[in-house]
This record gives sequence, C-alpha cells and structure tokens, in this order.
Amino acid sequence: MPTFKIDGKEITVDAGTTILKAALAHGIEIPHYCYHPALTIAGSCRMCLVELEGSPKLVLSCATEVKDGMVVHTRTEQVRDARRSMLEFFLINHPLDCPVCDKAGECLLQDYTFKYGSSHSRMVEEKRVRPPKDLGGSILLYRNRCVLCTRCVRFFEDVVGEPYLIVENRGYHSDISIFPGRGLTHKMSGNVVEICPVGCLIDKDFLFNARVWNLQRTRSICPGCSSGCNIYLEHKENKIYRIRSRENQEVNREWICDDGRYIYHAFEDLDRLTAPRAEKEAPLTQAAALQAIAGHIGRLQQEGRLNEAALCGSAWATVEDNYMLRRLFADGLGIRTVLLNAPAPEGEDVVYKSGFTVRADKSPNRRGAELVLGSSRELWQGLREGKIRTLFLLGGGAGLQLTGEQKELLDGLELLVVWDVAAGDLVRSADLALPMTSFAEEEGTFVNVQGRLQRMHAALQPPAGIKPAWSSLAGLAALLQQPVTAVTAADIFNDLAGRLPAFAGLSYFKLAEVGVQLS
Amino acid sequence: MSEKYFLHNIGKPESKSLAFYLANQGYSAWEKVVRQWQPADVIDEVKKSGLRGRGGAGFPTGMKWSFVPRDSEKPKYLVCNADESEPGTFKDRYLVEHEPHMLLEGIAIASFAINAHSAYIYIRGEFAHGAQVLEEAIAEAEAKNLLGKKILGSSYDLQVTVHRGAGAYICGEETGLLESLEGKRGWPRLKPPFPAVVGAFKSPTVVNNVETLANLPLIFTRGAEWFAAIGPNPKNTGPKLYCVSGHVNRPGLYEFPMGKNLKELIYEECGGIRGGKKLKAVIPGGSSVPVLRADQIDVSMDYEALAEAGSMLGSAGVIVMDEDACMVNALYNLERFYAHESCGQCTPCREGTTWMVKILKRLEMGGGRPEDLPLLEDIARHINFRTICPLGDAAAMPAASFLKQFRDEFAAHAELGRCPQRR
Repeated sequence: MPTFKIDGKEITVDAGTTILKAALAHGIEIPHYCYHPALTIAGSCRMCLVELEGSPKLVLSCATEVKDGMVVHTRTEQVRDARRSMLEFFLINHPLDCPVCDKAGECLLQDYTFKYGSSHSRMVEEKRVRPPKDLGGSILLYRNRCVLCTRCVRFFEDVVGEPYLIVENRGYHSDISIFPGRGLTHKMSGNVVEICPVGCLIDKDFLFNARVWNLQRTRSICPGCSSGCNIYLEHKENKIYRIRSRENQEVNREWICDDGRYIYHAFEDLDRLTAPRAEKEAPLTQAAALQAIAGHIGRLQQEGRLNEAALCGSAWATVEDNYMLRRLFADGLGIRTVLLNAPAPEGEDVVYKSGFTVRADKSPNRRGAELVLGSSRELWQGLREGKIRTLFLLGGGAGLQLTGEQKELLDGLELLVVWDVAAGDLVRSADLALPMTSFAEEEGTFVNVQGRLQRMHAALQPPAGIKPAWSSLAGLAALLQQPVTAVTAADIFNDLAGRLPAFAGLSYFKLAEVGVQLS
Repeated sequence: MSEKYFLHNIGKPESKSLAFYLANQGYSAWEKVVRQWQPADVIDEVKKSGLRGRGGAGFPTGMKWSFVPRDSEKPKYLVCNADESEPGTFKDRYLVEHEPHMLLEGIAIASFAINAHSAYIYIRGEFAHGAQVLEEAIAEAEAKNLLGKKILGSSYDLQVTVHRGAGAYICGEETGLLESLEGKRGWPRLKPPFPAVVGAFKSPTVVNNVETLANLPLIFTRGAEWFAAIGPNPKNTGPKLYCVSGHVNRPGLYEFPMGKNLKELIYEECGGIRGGKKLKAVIPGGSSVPVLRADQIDVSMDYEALAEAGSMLGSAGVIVMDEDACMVNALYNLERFYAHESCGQCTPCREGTTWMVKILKRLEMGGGRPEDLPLLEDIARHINFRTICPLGDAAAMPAASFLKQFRDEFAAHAELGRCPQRR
C-alpha cells in the first residue's frame, strides 16, 4: 500500500489508486470534467493536472497511479495557472447563457469558473456558434455548451455496451453527435444528462421547467421494477419535476433507466380514489367504510364462515402496508388463506454491459410482500378454486388492467374490499374501496429482487384525507379490538421487526441510506 | 561530397526492383541475421551503433526495442511509421518510393529483433504511389522467400502489411497511428503505458520511422562500429537525410553524415539564398521546432547542438526564409496547419490552436492590437506540455519562438494593426 504526500498531507492508499481518486477520497478537490468513476479514463479535459515533484510537466491526476513516496501539490501557482488557462479555453466559445440554461446551479463549468477561473474573457473574435441539435428521444444537445469531455460517449460504450454517441469532425470542429440514422431513444439515455458536467445534454422533460436550486430532493426508491434503483425525487410545491439517480453501488451504482426516470408522469394523471366508496354509491366517510367492513367481519365470525375469507397482499405496496394486512387479518382474526397480487413478468430481464439490469418483474416489492406474508398463493389461482367468498385486497399497481376472466372471478365474490390508489378496474369490481397513498406520498420500505431492504421518504403531500393503507388498516384493527399503536410507518416497521424473523433486529431509523441486505 | 547510402540510386528508376536491390548486395544483412543471429544480439548491435530514431524525437532505437517485454505471451508487432506529414519533410517518401527493399530489409531485421511475426507499414494516405510500390516490393520479396513463412530456410515467419492512412497529421503520432491502425479514430493515447508494452491490439509494439529502419541493413552489412564512426560524436551517428525547402537556390533532399553544418548546407550545398537575398530565418527540423535567426545557423545539425541553439533536429526538414518573408504571415500559415490537424481530443490544443490562428489573422490582415502579443505568448504557454500528445507542443513551440526571435516584426504588426507589407 503506497503512501504519498499531497498538499502536505500524508495518505496511504490501495495500490493502483490514482492521485485524483486518493485526493477526492480525502477531501482534496481536484477539478475534473472527463473523469467519472464509472467510466474509462479519457484524460482529455486536462483540468486535473497537478504538480508532481520530480516531474518536468504537470501530471494528469486522473491517470497517474500513486507510487510510494510521491509528493504532489494541487495548490501551487503552476497548477492554478493550468486550471485558469483550461477554463479560459473552455469559455472562449461558450455562450455564457446560464440564465436560460437548465444546468445552471449544478454546472461544473460554473462552479470551477467561480472557484478557479477568470471573470473576464480575452477573446475578441466571433465565437463558434452551433445550433442545438435534437438527438431524438428526450435529449437535446446544446452544442455551444459542450466541453467535449466524452462522458456521454463513454457511457454508452462502457456502461450500456451499445455505442450510440460519437465525436464527429476534428479539432476545433469536434462535436458530439449520434450515429447516423439513430435516435437517442435507448432506455438508458437519460443518464447522459446526469453525467454531462455542463449544460450540453439537456432533458426535454425538464426543459425550462424549474431552476434546480428551487427544487427539494427526497431520497426514494424507483417503483418501476424489482431492481429497486435508488433515486432522488426532485420537487417543489407538491409536484415532482424530475427524478435523478442516487448512487448505491450495491444496487444501481449511479444509473437509472428511463422507465424509472419518467415514471412520475404515470402517477400525475391518475384518476385518484379520494374517498372510500361502496359499489355504485356515493362516497362514504372513512369511519363509515371501516364500520361496514367490521360489521361484515362480525357476521362472518358469528356464522363461522371466516374460513371463506382471504387476504391478498400486493407486490406494489410497501412492506408496512402488507404487514398491517397480515397482522390484522391473518395474525389477528386467524384468516388462513393468503394471496399475493403481483404482475406477471414482462419479457426477460434486460442486462447491460456494466451489469445494470432492468427487470421483467415490474413490481418493486414482491420479495418484501413475500417475506411479510409468509407462504402465499397467486391471487388469480387462489380465486379460481372458488372457495373464497370474501377478499381483503391491497392494490397499488397504477394502471393495472383486468381481463374479462379476472373481472368475473372478482364479481363472483360475496364481498371484495380493495385498498387502492386509483379508481381503476380493481376499484370498479370492489364492493368497498378505500383510498391509499400513491408513489412519492408515502414513506416506508421495499425489498428488491436481491433481498435488499431499502427505505424511501415521502416527497409529496397526498390529497386531503388520503392515508397509507397501513393507516386505515390500523383504524380497522382498532374497531376489531386488535389495536396497534402506530402513528408513522416507523412504528409499523419496528413492530414487524419484532415479530418477523426475516426482519429481526432491524430498526427503521437505523436503516442505512443504501439499505440492508436481508439474509 | 561524402558517400551516399540512401540517395546513391537517384536517377535509376529500377532501384525499386528486387532484382536491382539483390544485384547490389541487398538482403545480405537480412540473410545473415535471420540465419545466424539471436534477437538479443541484434538489439545489442543496434545499441552499439548509436542509431537514434529519425522520426523527430531521436530516441535511441536499440533501447526502444529493449523495452518490449521478452516474456509476454502476447504477439509482438513492428509498425513502420510512413505517415510522413511534417511540413518541410520529404525524406521517407523518397525511401518508400525508390528504395522499398531497403525499408523492407530494415523492417525484417527490426521485427526479428523484437520477435514480431507481423509488421505493418502505416503509410500516409496521400502516398498512393508509395503504397503501390511497397505492395509490389512485398510481393517480390515474398516470392523469393525473403518475407513470409520459414524465411530463407529458417524457422522465422514474417508477414508485412501495408495500411494506408486517411489523411491526418495526427496519425503520424505513434499512438494516434496505432488507434488508426486498429480502425479507430486517430486520437492519441495517454502514456504510460507506452506502445512497447501496450501497443497495437493491446500487444507490445515498436513503432519506428522509415528512415530509422532503412539504416538497419547498413548496420548489419558494415557493422555497428563502422556506423558509429559516422557523425560528429557518439550520440549522433550514421548517415542522415536532410530536406531543404524554401528560399534557397537548390531546394531538395540531401544526404550527409549526421551533424552537417546548417550554414554549409544552405550556402554551399543548396547554393545560398534565392535571388541573392539575405537570409532571415531557418526552421531546422520540420515546422514544429523553434525557428532560428540568420545569425544562429552556424550549428552542427545534431540533436544536442541544435538543442543548445534553442531548436531541435526533429525530422531535419529545413525550411529557409529570406528577408522578404513576413514572420507573422509565416506563423499564421503554420498555425493554420496545426489548428486544422488538431485532433480535438484534449482542450488546450483543440481550443488554443484556432484561437491563435484568429489572433494571427488579425495581426496580419487587420485588427491587430499590442495586447495580442502577450496573449499569443500566454496561449502558447498554456498549450505547451499540457496536452496528451506532442501536437500541442508542436503548435506552441513555433508560436513562442517566432514571437521571441522576431519580436520587432510582431510589434510592428501590432502597432500598425496589420502587415506592413500589405496595402
């Protein structure tokens, strides 16, 4: 393990570590554009040049491995001069259009110029002007802002494994472009907007929508498939403006797919179920709805027909929602028939070069629901046997559409109680439907396909009166003399951690931001 | 007149044929080497000869070969750099077109030394005729088993392939060349690793210039001692080709021992300055080396002496400019070349070269300002030593040296706002 000195600080690193990595890991900023930890080294932006004692030239910190006894300086006049000059080169043709650039506020050209650059330009000639280019799909290329770091080109080569972008032309006329005849419609395309260090690659979905410094960031988990990619929800005034990837080396590294990136739109125009409703009747109050369910359960108990009832968890709903369903109906009332509402896989898993995977299972919490429910059967299989007369069902899959056979199976029930987000097919078949919170409105946990328990935070306020499913289930439990003291999802989680072996020893507030691998 | 080893066949069009070459003891060195020598001894012999790379940097050839890892299980490659593109340089082209077998014999010896069984000649795309000559020469040599399988009864195989470039100066830079050879964009690579360790197709590779390789048959027919005795000192040995262009009475390709006096070359061999004019400036080693003033040319054309004089031997492309030449215009012309040929991969060269061109255009054509001079110097300083490959330095060095050596002329342009010679 080599030890070297950087800015007077002695640091020991693993063999093979570059100066740049070592510096960043120890809080020493070395500015850089082309370097990205997940991509091959390009060494072309020349921003990360540092002084190495004994070397006649400045050395490239992103490509120079630390050797024992090296002495490196990052703050000398020579290094400052190199950074200043590089920024001058980047800016001579830059349009300086920060006021209308979406990247402003999170732009490395802005940040480094502010820290290391000059406040005026010495170029008096006309600038190189190139109109923006639509790359197809959701991506615009603002060519005047490009620093030609080639992160986007290397992303498709190194991470996706399917080259899409290229550098076109030569020298001063070099330009990022796309292979002729292709559009940037690849499922991973949105990532290039995130890794672009400047405002060159811009997402039409976010174009001119918000200034980034006005957005709040909330840590969440993508509900789009069972990978459980870590994301940031970026929002203001109770509206999501964009989704960004959140680094988790154990799950998605630093990427998300476009299915997840734009998934929030699928929840924007939902026909929300805003109040409990009985079949073809006017909305009920929450209290009346819970009374009606409690009444039905009381009758089943009196008539000894509880064995005709079943509960059905949901692969879209959180661990906490599924747990409350189980705790009340299975553990509390002794209902034995347990079903799971989960989607059939869509095609095959899609695995990219870096290992990033878009799963065929389009639900985020199948593993979590399975772990919470214990042994369960698939919803429709269970119903086809015809023994179930009463069903308590968690929905949650936005836009879920039922087949004719499935509708008939549900219509054949004596009583169907559904908790769901939207007034979709399930709600239309229900005798009694209760609203629940939607994506981004609820905090709680999911377990991904690898068995990793991950926590998400609530970003949005639900519409008035809508609560998480676990909350209305807890209300029902109180009516049925099965009280649970639960104010937040944390209370539910801590309760289940004490009861379910798979979650033993875990505490909600101690879940790391990168989640916990369940054994 | 000293004896010629490269240009002795000028005026004999048959010099490119194998029959002619064989009749003049051609391939005798190769025959000896492939039958009797060990690769390590070949490397030692070249080290002893003092041969240095003729492409421009002057790196000792034997030492370059010895960097190829012996124990690597990967194939080794020899690449002949025939992408001669440096302005003012036209020596390799002559060898390729007129002495292809001398080059092939050198390639064979070098390949043998590094245990390569594949050699590539990366030839400048514009040299269409040269490429054809080489193809024919390779076919001739293969027919006589001088190349190919089990050469001359030995167990050694060598396949030589001609690869034509597509017209980029940057592909003469050895790693840009290797990228291009692999079918990729000609973007130079970060070094280390050097090609001797990771070169063509991720395998150990030696890249040698045409003239360098053409010296090898001489070394192995006449011996390293004989070779080392030619030239002014042990660091500068062997015969050398000099390309003289510009305002001299007899421009052209010349051969002398290494270390020819530059003044003698211009005034005696090349007949002095055209039209009896006075000499103003000489670029001694191809367009990318620093320029010398007329009073600095009494210098031996060897690596060290020219470095001491503030320039470099480079490719020995001597560009002569008389008193009428406008130095601003000359630099403008050079920088246009470098801006055009910049690959665009790294920032300083991509942005800086064209910026310099824009400023020089103003100084020459109108709109020049006194502050342009320090600005040009700054840009050159900001490019120099901060790029991936030496093209950045090649663009920066002329700018810095022109501004230093001909300051008054630049100042006069800045003062007037344009070239005083223009109306």
